[in-house]
Amino acid sequence: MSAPTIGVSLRPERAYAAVVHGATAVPVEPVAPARNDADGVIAAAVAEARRAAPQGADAVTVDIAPVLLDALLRPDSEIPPVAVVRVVPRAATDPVLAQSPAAAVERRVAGRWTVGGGHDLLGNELRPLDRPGLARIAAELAATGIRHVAVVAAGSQARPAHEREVADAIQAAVPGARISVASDYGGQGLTAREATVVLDCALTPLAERLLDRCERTLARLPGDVRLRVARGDGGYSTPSRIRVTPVMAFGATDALELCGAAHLAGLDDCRVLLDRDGSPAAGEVRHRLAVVRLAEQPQLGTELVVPTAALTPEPPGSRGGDVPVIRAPHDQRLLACVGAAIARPASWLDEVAFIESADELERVRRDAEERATAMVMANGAAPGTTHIAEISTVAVPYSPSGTVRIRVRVAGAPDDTPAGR
Amino acid sequence: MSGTAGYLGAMASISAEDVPALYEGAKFYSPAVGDAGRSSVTSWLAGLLERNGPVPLMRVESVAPDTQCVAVCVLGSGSAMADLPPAGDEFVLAVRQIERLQKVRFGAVYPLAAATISALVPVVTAAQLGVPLLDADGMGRTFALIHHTAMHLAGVSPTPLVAVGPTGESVLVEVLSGPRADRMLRANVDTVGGWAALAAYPVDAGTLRRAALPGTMSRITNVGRVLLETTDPEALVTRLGAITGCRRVARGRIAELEHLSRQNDVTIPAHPSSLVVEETGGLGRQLRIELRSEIVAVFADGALIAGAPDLMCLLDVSRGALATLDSLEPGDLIDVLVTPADAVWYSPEGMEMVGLASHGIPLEHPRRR
Amino acid sequence: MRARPSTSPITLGELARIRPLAGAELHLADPARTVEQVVLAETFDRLRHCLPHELVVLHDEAATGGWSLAAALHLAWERNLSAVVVSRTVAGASSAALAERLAMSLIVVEDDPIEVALQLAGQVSAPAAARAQRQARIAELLAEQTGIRGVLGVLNRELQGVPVALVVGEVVVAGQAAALAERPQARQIEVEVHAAGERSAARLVAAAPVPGPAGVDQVASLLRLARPSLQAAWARSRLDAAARAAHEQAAFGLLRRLGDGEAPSWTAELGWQVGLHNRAVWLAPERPEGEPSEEVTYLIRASWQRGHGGWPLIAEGDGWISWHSGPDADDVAALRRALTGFRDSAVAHRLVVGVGRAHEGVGGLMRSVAEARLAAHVAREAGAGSVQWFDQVGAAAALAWLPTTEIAQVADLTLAELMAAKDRAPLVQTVLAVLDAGGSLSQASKQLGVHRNTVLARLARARQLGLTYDEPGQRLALHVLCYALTTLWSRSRSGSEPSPP
Repeated sequence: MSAPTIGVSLRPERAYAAVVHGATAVPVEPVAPARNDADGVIAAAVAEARRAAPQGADAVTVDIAPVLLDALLRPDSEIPPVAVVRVVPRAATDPVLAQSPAAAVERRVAGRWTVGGGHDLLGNELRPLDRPGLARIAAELAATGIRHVAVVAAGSQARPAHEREVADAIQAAVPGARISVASDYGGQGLTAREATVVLDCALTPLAERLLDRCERTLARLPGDVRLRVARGDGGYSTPSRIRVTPVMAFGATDALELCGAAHLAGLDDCRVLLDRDGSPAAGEVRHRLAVVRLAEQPQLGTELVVPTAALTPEPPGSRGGDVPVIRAPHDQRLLACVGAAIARPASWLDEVAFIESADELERVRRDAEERATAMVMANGAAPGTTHIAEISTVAVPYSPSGTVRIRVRVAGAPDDTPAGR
Repeated sequence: MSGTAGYLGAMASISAEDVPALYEGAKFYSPAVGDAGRSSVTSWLAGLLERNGPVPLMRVESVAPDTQCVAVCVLGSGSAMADLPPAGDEFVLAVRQIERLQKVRFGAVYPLAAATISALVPVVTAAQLGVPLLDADGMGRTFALIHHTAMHLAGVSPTPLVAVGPTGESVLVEVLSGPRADRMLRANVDTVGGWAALAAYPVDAGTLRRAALPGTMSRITNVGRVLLETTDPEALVTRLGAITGCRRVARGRIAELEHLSRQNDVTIPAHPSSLVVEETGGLGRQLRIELRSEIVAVFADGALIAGAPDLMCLLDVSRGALATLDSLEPGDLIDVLVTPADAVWYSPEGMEMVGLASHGIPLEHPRRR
Repeated sequence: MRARPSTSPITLGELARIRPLAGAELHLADPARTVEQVVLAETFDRLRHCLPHELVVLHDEAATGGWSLAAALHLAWERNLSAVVVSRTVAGASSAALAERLAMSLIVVEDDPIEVALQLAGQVSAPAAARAQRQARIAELLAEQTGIRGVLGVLNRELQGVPVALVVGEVVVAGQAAALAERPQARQIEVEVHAAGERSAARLVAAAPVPGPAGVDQVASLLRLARPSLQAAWARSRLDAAARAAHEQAAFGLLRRLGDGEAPSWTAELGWQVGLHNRAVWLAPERPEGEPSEEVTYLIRASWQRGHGGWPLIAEGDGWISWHSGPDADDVAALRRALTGFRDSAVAHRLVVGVGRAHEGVGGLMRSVAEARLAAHVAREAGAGSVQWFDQVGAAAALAWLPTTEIAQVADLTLAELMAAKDRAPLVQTVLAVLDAGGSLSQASKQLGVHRNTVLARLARARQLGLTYDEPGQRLALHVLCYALTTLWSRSRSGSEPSPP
């Protein structure tokens, strides 16, 4: 049997953990005087894993999403102010269109600027970058003292040139600025892409603090236990990746609870009913992966371009389906811990491409698969263990003939080699 | 037919509270585009309605026959619009240009197609212009080209029309025959960023009484309310059936997505693709769903069971919500819903313009057999 | 059943064997389905006017994508057509699935559909010509074959659904054994294959389903077509086999003299594997009759090597040696399969089989050969077709190998009193049972099924007659002697009349 794994769920009020070893999942409770914060719970979990197997655990996967969400929604939290720079052909003329539709996102925005520029979805330039305007804005921004900057350019998924130039100019004007650019995430929709980079900027210091703390705790403990961080899609990534893209960790808890419930029920494919504020909410697990999509985050009021397990309110009475339905019977905090402990490295890619023949479609698909596979290895998968979990290519309606949207999801197995550590 | 069914619960005005229902209902009548731009466009409209007050929604019969009216819609792709959101003044700019050209003042706005985002932008335009919105449209759903309208069948010209892109650039089109307008516009739409605000079919209300499809805005709001009420697919199908006449023809899991699956006619946007679905209950049939920008035909074991101009949409059973064509994935469990379109589309002229043959499927429509 | 050229409608199965359909992707719901006419359908309207048993080739409007093929399959099913032929560009995986669901034959071609339709139309309107064309093609294929297996391979491929086997006596030498199976709706067709100077004639046997995709007369004419190739291959392989047998025999002798050590490289040239775990098999006649003839060796080789072409077969003494080498000493799956496959032949040739244990290296192989030989002697007790593994018999095999007749002669000289006694058999049997039981009287009485006192009484009488079994110095010799006598007596009792197979 392989080594036990540990899943930790960091909640605002305290931390929870579970040790999963083969088919058994044991909740961990620190015994007083040990504390039930991250340090105390991780230490207790590592000790519990040693009791389960002499070699102890080889990894801890931590879900930091509840703490991130809590900090975002709490007005008094220490989240830094963020400046937003949009690169679009024209500035919005309507105040609502000028800002994010999500109050939780907009609350973090301390200033907004628009630079003329941008591309269409296929990478054609719609307007040359307004360089004099950019210089002016960079100077203004530097004067505000804001150090966290989110940059989003129309069409940067297809051609990031404008976005990069803006980021470079701001970096030069504001030394030490923490800049997030939307082209790092791909995806669809300016609103969702902007919200993603705003959160990314805003959450960076908090994510760093949390991960530093977990790593320090693990360094003090015996054995060589690696830290992993749960992603919104229920997979995991490395702490170094999450430090630069903390928004990937956002919203992980739903997917982890779904996978945890399926694991405890011994099912690869099922529908899981979770309790959300006293009402049942449903999600699905297929091939041991939570079904995720790009959907509006209910607590945020906007979409992001990183996928999460979108739960649906479950109406009373059963529905017709061909998969078993399980009602999560356990403490849901334990489910998240189990889900984190069994998480696998994962990646996701969502792009628009243009094809003119079936051969070209095949080439575009292969190319997307290869890039998603490279991403999952960067997230900690062992070479040779990766597989394409989902792939879909759909024609984009009302777009020029040949425009396709490609989504690829890749999962792998942990890299246990010393080089992979 | 559904035209009269839609008049159940006709509304007198549209306010900010109606926006979510309007959005969902608009998706039912054209499940083409996903929700990437949803929060942006709904909060824009809700903000306008809060600031400027509700937009009066009037039956065509209840406005003076000499009132000048103009249709608006989004030309091009909803994903392009999500990625390059409007600055906000595009629709008003388009309408004002026609006003200047024709030296008229429009007294009402109406949707060119009361479906997808094109059902929301007329409300935006009416709110910005401070004029009423007509409870009628030209398609009762969406079709691919801008002359696929009841107005065109009634002899109303789509031009002069103006398209304004998110770049602020615009194009004015005047043609001798309606079908040429779309061809002239497409290239321009790609140039200005993949979508444009379109103002077209300037016409008096008296003509619209016989040329537009009545009650379609009220209908989509009612449908939207049903969709927001529950996520139970059984309840949804029953309730939607009661107000739209739709029925479920099959439930199954998506097995495969095929591309370029029919001969490609480049004058119509989006290339042909197909969905292969394994029916999960019943006879275990193999369904083939032929797509363009909309669903154009449904085959069960090779037998044609529904086809354009029928309105076909997919319900994601596990979420109890409409599945949009750009978010389908193998493994999804879906209900295939078929709704009869407005009667005008089953006339010989309507069938010739938007029927199966226009999609390269030379089979007799199941409703004709 | 000869001559009359068939004018019955051609079947899908037959069409699929000749150009242009040969090489096409076939999804045949029923190969026996006849094709009465070929229709090139450009429109769905044309499809709607097709008649049952017609084969339709889709073209133009009727072949514009997956949907059109799906609709065409449905129409074909409604109109009870024989098959739908379509270009590769139109068909996808889901089309094949739908064809299967509707039980409609679907044929996907690479060539231009119009060309295909024209050629098919010619073949369907003149079935005799099409069949002649097919026979000519098969004759060409047969002529290219140099081995028996190759010839049978062609026949079985061409006559799909009609198993064909080459049979000598009752033994299947090549092809599919299903040809011999009695089936209610199949007719057996036989063609003799004579070879010069043969004692036993070989026969080609085919089991043609009635009604089936190929008419009985066509099957017969195909078998006759194969006869010359088969005779040539038969003679050639006999010649080759004789040379090879001599070569292998000499090589094995050399190997035996090498004793322990590395397997020489020439073993690999013979296709032998030595060096891993070697498990030997001894094929021996149930009743030894001296060295077997070349012809018998040939037949045994043919059936032993069916499906295990690489396994050696070396005639030695009155039997044959073979062996299997593998990386895992305990993996006997391949060997078991071979033995199961050989069972019918073993019965037919009245052979028994002994299997040695797995040992490493050349020395190990020789040891395994010795064990296999001992095991084969034990197998003889169970009659023809039986298999004995040395792992299971152990020392009993050694005892079985003793020259019992000679030992019994020793008894005649040294235990004259005992041998003269009338009750010698139960006495010897009792002593043997006691010795087998390690001296335990109660175990011996249980095994013999007599009372303990009876055992005691018999032992006392045996001792009086010279069977001093309780003297340690004599115990082993007497144990062997008792075994030999018991075996000899029981064999002469049961073996006086050979039991039928």
